Amino acid sequence: MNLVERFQHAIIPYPRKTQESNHHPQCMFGGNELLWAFLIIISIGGSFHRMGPSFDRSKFGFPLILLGLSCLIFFPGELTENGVELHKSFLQSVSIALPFAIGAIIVLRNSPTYGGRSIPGLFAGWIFIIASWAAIFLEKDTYSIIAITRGALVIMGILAGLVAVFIGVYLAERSSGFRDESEPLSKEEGDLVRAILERRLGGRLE
Amino acid sequence: MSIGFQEAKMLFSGGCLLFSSLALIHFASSYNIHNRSLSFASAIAVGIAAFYLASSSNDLDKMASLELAMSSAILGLLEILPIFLAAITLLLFRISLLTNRSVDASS
Repeated sequence: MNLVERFQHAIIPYPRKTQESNHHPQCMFGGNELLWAFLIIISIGGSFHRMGPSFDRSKFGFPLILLGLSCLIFFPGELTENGVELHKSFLQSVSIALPFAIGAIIVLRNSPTYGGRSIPGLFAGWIFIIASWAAIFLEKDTYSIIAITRGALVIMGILAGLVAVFIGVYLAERSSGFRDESEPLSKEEGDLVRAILERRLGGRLE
Repeated sequence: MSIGFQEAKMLFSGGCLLFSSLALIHFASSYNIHNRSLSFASAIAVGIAAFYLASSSNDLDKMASLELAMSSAILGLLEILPIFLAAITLLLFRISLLTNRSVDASS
C-alpha cells in the first residue's frame, strides 16, 4: 500500500447530510481546497510586487505567481462539479489572457511612450493581441445581457468593499496623528535637492 | 431568463468577499511596522457582512455558500473579461500608434 492509498484509507467516512450540500465535513471547501490554495498563492505573489517597507519580499512575487498558476492549470486536485466549472473557466481565460499579457508587454516595451519605437516589436506584440482576440471569438460565441449583469453585480460588490476599506484606511491614517518631526536635511542632502531642482526647473535657486 | 434577487445578492456578496479576501491577503503579504490595525478591521468587517449576506441568499451550509458566492463572483468576472481586454486594447492602440510622447524624468 503506497502513501496515497494509506492516506485515502485514513479518511474517516462521514454519513451524507440530508441538506443540499453533501460535502465532506473534514474539507473546508468540499473538495476544491487545492484550487483555492493555488488562487491564494497567486494573490500572495501579486501582493509581494510592491514598493515600500516590504519591498525586499518582491523577489518572491513572480516565482509564487508562476508556481500557483502552473499548479492551478496542471494539478487542480479532485474537484466537485462547481470546481470543475471554475477550473474549466480558468483554463479558458488563461488561453485568452496569457497571449494578451505577452502581447501587451511587448507592445509597451516597443512603443514610443515607454521605450524606443520598434516597428517589428510592435508588430510582434499586436500579433499576440490579435491571437488573443481570435481565441475570444472562437471560444465565446454569444454574449448575453445576463452575463454582463452578473459581472456588473460582482464589480458593484468589489467597489462596495473598496469604499469600506478606503474609509477604514482614511480613519486609521487620521487617528494616527503626528509623529516625531523628521530631521532637517544635511548640507550634502540639501545641495543634492538644490541641484536636482535647478536641473529640472532651470535657473538658479536663491 | 433573468437574475433573481437571491442570485443578485449572492453575486454582490461574492464580489465583497472576493475583495475582502484579496485585501486581507494583500495586507498580510505586505505587512510592515507602519501598518494600522483599523485597515485590517475594515476588510474583516466587509468580509463578515458579505459572508452573512451570502449565507442568507441560499439554503446551503455556511462554507458551501461561501464557496458558491466566491466562485460565482470569479465566474462572473471571467465572463466579462473580454470587456476589460477591449478597454486595454484601445489603450495599447493609443499608446503604440497614436502617441509619440516619451515618458522621461522631466515629465
